[in-house]
Amino acid sequence: MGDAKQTRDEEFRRFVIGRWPGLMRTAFLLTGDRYAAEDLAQSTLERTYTAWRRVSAADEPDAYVRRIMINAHARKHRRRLKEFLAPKDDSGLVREPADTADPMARADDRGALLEALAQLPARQREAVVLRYWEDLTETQTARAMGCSVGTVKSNTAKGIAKLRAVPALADAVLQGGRK
Amino acid sequence: MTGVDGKGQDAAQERISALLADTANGLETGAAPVDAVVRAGRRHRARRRTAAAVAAVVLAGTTGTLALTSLPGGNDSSAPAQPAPADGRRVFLPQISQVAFGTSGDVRWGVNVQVWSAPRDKAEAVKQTEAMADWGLTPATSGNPSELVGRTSYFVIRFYGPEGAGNDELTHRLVDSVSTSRLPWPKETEVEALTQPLTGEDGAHRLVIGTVPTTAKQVACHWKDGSTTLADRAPENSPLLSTDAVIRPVRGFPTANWFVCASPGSAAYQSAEVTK
Repeated sequence: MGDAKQTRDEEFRRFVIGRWPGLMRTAFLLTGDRYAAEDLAQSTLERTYTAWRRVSAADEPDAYVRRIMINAHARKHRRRLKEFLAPKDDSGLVREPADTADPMARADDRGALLEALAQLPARQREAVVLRYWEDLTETQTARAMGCSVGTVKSNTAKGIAKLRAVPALADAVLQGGRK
Repeated sequence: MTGVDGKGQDAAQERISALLADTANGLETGAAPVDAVVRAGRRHRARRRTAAAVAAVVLAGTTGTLALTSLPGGNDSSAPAQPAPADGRRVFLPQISQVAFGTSGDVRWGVNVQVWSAPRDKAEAVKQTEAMADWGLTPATSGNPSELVGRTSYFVIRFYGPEGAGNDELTHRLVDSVSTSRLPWPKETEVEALTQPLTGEDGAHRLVIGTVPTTAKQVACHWKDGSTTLADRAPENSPLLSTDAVIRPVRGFPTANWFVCASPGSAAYQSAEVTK
């Protein structure tokens, strides 16, 4: 293997190891299912590999990868969201003893959130996850979703409004979570 | 990633942000599947390259300028496929020939053959193995690249996907891979054939891919329902058109021509014979 190629491969491997947890978590919120999240995160990184020269040379490699993931999600999961409506027992959530007063209630909140997210249209879900989990600005979110800032605002507002209207979630929201 | 940027967000948004973080952080992500990602990434890149090459061949065929001008003559099985100087050998890049493509219902299918010239020494063999890996291909050896020295490798690949799908969306499947010091050289009416499903992973083996002598002008593929499909040798340098059956030369494969038959119905393969 040539030196340059070997160096690129090593860079990519380090990138995968470093980004995997974050990509998995974003994918989990987008898909609502651990195994679907693994598929999405892995296929995102596979596509990243094919474009690694461009990605690694980009000013913001993470933005590039995020765009790949959102495109993949839009393509693969948009029409299948209903499959993930109900979080399964093996959804991947860790049920470890939590440092909160009411771990069962925390698990309920997580389940309610996943279920509520799954009922959002894909674009609203993507906007909410990118804005409020990835903590992106509206401009960054628009770039990741390949749409205008106005569309991001609209999708985010609608998504948040729907989440707030979900009874099981509204309780947790009003209580400021259960932490 | 806590997801709370504070300013301009009402309390409910902050709570949702906190819930998202709590839910996401509750996921046990496990170890990164680095090797699997790299392997699959290489395969994906290979598929893209193969698809691009297929597209190039299809384009050349449909414009009537099929890029097969260096093919061996129909009756001259001893002619070298690439009479180029030594530095023109395709050791690190394959020669790709599309043998046939067609449609079955609303599914597009096709067959191509990749030929990799024989490496001359271990260094070339190691580099060729790496190049093949970039295409998602593994030579049919025990894993020691030295075994490739002096051996031509060829890979038979079928692909299928929805009609109108981009090349990137087609599914490619390896049908056969061979590394050999002597390419098959069928004589008289000898036929070597492989069978596969035509447009998926399972089902009747409706696709026949094989080699025949370069002198063969027609192959009859017989199906289990009693029907027959005739594959005629395509005129030299003729455009590649959608078909059910054809015989064509393959670049880098001077000792035989290749044929493909696709069953027009649901019947599976029964036999094949040279009829002309």
